[in-house]
Amino acid sequence: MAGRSRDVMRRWSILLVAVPVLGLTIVAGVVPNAAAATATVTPVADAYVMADQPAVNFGTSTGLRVDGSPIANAYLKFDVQGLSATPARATLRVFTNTAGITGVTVSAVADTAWSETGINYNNRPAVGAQLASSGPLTAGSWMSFDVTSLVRGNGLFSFALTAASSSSTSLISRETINKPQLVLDTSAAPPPPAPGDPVVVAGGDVACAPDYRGYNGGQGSPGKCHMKATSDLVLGISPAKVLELGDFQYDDGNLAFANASYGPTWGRFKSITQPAVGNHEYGTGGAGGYFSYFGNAATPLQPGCVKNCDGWYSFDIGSWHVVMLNSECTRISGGAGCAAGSPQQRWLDADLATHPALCTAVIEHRPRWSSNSFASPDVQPLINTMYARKVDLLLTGHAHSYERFAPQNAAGARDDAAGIREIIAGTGGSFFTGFGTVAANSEVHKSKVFGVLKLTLHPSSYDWAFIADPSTPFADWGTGTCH
Amino acid sequence: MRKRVWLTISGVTFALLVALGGIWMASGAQQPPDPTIPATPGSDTHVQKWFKDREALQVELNDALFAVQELTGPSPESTRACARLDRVTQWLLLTPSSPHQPLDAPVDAGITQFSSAALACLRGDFPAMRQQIDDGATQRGNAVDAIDEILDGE
Repeated sequence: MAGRSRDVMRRWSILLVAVPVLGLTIVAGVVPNAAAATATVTPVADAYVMADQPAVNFGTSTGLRVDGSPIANAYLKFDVQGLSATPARATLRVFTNTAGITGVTVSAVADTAWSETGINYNNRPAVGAQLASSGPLTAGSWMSFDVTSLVRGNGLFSFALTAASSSSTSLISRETINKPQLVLDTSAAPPPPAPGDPVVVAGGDVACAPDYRGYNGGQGSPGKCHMKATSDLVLGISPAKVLELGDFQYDDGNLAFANASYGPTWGRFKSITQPAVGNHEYGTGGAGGYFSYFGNAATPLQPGCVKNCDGWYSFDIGSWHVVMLNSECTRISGGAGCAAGSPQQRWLDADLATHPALCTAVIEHRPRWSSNSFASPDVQPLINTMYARKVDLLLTGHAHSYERFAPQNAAGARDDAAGIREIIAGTGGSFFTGFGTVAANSEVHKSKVFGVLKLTLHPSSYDWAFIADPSTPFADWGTGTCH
Repeated sequence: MRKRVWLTISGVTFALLVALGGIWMASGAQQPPDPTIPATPGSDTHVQKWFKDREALQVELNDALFAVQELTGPSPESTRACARLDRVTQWLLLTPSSPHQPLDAPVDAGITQFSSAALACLRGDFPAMRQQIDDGATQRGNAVDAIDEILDGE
């Protein structure tokens, strides 16, 4: 009986796997793997174009050339059909015959109307936002590019492969073996938030000054002043709280600019906003513009304070305890405002001790860890306190990019059991900054992106999802457990 | 025999070079710059490393400074606290200059005053110590904007 039962179960298992796999194959024209967790799509068109032969079409070649000088760009087009959900990850794979130091860059191409036998340098589609770079190339190997930010569902997708190097790179086209692939991971789409648990949105480094050259009447321009677009994302999410991560109003946080620029955009959520003070706020004496604009929401421990206020406080949401800190350490408490024993450090320790919630988040403007020079060692004593008091999540801005770290201890060593996960979301709209050397335990980093971080705060865990401005497509999501 | 030794040495040397090259490449030092983001000191790897190398001293300066600010008068404890501030300011004054010269002045703002404060404290001159600390803290606080602007490329 037991053996027959196992056999029946095995048959059901095969059936349960086989039916969706077969369905996806028939409906989509994509080839799923045995576990149905991934599907592989091959190009419907590919070609390369050359600047020194501008009218010549290379669509039927068995190779794709990429070169910086004379310019040779490769174009790939995929037709994705049959997906029922957003893929968790999309990876473009291309086989290279050539080794090289500087590698190849993949960019989005909005125009999908080009044809394999019609494209040439003269009529080539414009190359759009950069999606990924390969790093150094190894001859006879596959290059992989994360193109998840572009491939969000069914449809035609075009990519351009370009190179800065003047050494020509030879890639394999779809006309032979090892043809390019688009591998779609369909196994782990972001889970829908559980009903009832609060959703909050975080973002910092938000509003341009109205006299900024990219302001454009508040609508922004490419790469600048996208505070209206990011605030529209907040509107769509309809969160319970907005966590403003500092530098709310450029360049100096003055009240008039805040009313003119932040006000009509993120200011729409002022009544549900919990702000953290940033460095630019101190461009107006004692951060007076910031404290005046947000009023007691920014100074609940010092009601009525409008200048040189402490700027730290805490509140509860759902079953979470959330602490807002002032990371302008050298501007408060006589210049040692985050030192061990300082008023802020002692307050933080006492606050966390008296709020022993399972799940705790801390918000401050300056990150402790960042893959550039924006990391602040001044906040280290606060980090020591957070780690000792089992803080789960640290949200920051200051770096105008997105970066997510694995949980770390106070010294920055990975600690999945009891560590603090830092997420930088200085992506509120102002402008971009870049990365240097990628820091230890940085799991995801993305420059040139605007958007907001959406957090769903469960009683013993949290879901994060980065929601990007459509002009800078990118996605990151996951779940963390409180400790 | 001699030929075999030379071949072995050559092989080991080549393997070491390949391994070191691999580590260097994996370190990310050769990532091509993103042409659409202006290269700023904030994303310069040399500046980043220079700041990283100073981190421990900066944390120690803040803690030593706060400890001295809490002093009320001469005591064995105050001597220890002032010697601690003296040590860390001397170390900071000896650190190499930054790879981006405009950063040097704002990053070092206040340190000379803190050093003078430590010496005044060790002499038992607490009013002078407090004055120097206030001056240094003001200079350091005012220099933050300059550091942030330089890192942002403004």
